[in-house]
Amino acid sequence: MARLLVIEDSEELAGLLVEGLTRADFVADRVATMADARDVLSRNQYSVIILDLGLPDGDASVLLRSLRAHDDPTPILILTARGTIRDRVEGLSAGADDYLVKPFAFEALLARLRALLRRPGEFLGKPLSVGNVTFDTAARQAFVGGVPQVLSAREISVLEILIRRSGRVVQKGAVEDQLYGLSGDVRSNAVEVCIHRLRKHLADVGATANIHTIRGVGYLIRENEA
Amino acid sequence: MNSHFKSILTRIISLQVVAFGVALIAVLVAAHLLLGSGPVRFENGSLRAHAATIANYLTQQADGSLRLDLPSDPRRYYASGLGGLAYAVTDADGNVLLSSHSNQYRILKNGPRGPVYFQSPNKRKSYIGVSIPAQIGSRQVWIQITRNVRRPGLVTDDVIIHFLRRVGWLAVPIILFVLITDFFVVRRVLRPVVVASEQAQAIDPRRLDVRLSTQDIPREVQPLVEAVNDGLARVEHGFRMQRNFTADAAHELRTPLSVLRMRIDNLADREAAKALRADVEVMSHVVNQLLEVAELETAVVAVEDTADLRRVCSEVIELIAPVALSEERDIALTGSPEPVWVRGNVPMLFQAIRNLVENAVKYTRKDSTVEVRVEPQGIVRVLDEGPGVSDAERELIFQRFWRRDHTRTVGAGLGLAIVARVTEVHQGSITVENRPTGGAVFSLDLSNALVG
Ligand SMILES: Nc1ncnc2c1ncn2[C@@H]1O[C@H](COP(=O)(O)OP(=O)(O)O)[C@@H](O)[C@H]1O
Ligand SMILES: [Mg+2]
Repeated sequence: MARLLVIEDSEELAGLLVEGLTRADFVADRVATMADARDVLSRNQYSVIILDLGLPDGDASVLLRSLRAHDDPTPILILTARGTIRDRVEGLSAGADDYLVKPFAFEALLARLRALLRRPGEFLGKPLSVGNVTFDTAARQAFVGGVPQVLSAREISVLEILIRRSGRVVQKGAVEDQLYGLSGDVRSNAVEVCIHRLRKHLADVGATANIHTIRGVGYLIRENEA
Repeated sequence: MNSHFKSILTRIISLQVVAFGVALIAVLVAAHLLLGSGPVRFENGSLRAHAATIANYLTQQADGSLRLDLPSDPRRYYASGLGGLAYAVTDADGNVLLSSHSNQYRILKNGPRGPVYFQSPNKRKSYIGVSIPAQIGSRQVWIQITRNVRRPGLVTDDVIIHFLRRVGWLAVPIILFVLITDFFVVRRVLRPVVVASEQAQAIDPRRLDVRLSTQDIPREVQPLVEAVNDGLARVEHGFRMQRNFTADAAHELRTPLSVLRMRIDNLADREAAKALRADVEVMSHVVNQLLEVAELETAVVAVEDTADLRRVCSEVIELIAPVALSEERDIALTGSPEPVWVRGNVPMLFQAIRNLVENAVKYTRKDSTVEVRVEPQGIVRVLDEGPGVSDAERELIFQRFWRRDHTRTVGAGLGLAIVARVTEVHQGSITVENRPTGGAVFSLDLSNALVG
């Protein structure tokens, strides 16, 4: 069970956060100032720190920097009220692992937390899915509606990179790199050809997800609208 | 001081040249006045000196006659008529023995007396003179010197010629020396001012703590430097106030919204929660835009900021494409396949282009494609297939809070104001036109900021 530290000065928000996190099977401690945070951090080990940037005793990026300066590897997720142009970059350059701008969806917070808690290797072996398309990353096998699909090596790797980031755009360059990794012989339109085949295949076997082309940018796989 | 003398150095040197000229004229005028105040005494002395010179060079020959061997220098006074000088040597009866002009030249008709000082007897006072007795060998003679007083500059001629020949040439190297010294002195004295200017050059709205150094600054320039520093302090204070306000406002608005959002997420009634979440979404959007507007008030592009317009557009599309697809609209990036670099701030340009693309997706008709075109000369065009913008609205839409349809609560009419402000900060231009096929084209022209 992962233990989290919530450093947030708003009583109400902190209370709701701890409540929600407890419901999601985390153990969460809460402090409101940097001074208290230093105190508990010196005595306890946490899996993730959730840090509000604006604290009563100053800008919490100071705390962030000092933790990183002491080689503390604890993943830090920033909650910032100042999602402004300047501050966005600042938080990450101070050593945060991720940030969320208030107000945020609690679901989004949980997703980020899980991503931070996951060890790098844990990604492998977890089946990914979009619509009725699932992809077993360990076996590198795609299923549509539970039925295993016969796909070429190229199609498999393109589907994998898309499905890992389903609902988000994957740059065409990233897909090309994936194909170059397979063989040296990639024609300029190899990606288009591969995507075209994959798209046709998914449609033919009744997949409820589709690959969209964002012309000039990349591709994206998402579940079809009902 | 007129515009020809912009530099302190040229001002000092030109003023000094003028000063030298004035001093020279003053000396000459003073000499003139001084000499003019006692003409008789001076003339008397001067003419006597001339007589003594003549006496000096007079010799008696073996045959008893007199001979005058004037060296060239005094001879010039008589020959050139400079100062209107003339001399005559006479015997006791007034017979002219030697004369500067002709032997018949007889100055004192009644025979010489003297030593005596005289003026011409007529009213015109055309000359003055002296008659001095002298013993040359065995002969008693009178030497008479006259000066024509009707010739202007009579005394000073003599004095000036003398001054220029004996002392005047010294002035030339002295003046040159002073002027050259000026050059180095001024350069040295103004060095701290140059240093301060270099510091001033480094002032950037992101580094407002810079102050000009007052060390070694000449006292005369100090008030200027201090006034600039005071001004900087006030500007810095203003910027800080504005920035703190933005940060505080952001915190005070977003934290309660987060609480609201969390409470909604905890509601048991899923349907009600969905509607409420949408409301929070709208409110958050407006709050974000307000904060962005406030933040852009103090925004600047740093000298070293560069942005690849193609890349910024690509990232905007990556962000918006999933939303657009859900709303059954497509987006495409066209134009230059190569990066298009401009001098610009990436987060700000991202914000501007994002607002344009969000609008285009919002207003374009269903199943149409929004095109984002990056042109190599530094122009981004966002083309949609919506209703377009009427001529009357072309300017209005960029104003804060302007919306065509106030019944829609989504959006506060700040999006295009943000675009306009970012454009202004980048010294670009933003225009909107209608496409022949219907729909709007927003053109963000940053060709002035194109790099390379
Ligand atoms: N692409 C577009 N096509 C037609 N009208 C537009 C477009 N973009 C903006 N407008 C008009 O300009 C107004 C102001 O836009 P904006 O400043 O982005 O505010 P908002 O989107 O919040 O209404 C909009 O209400 C709309 O009437
Ligand atoms: Mg808008």
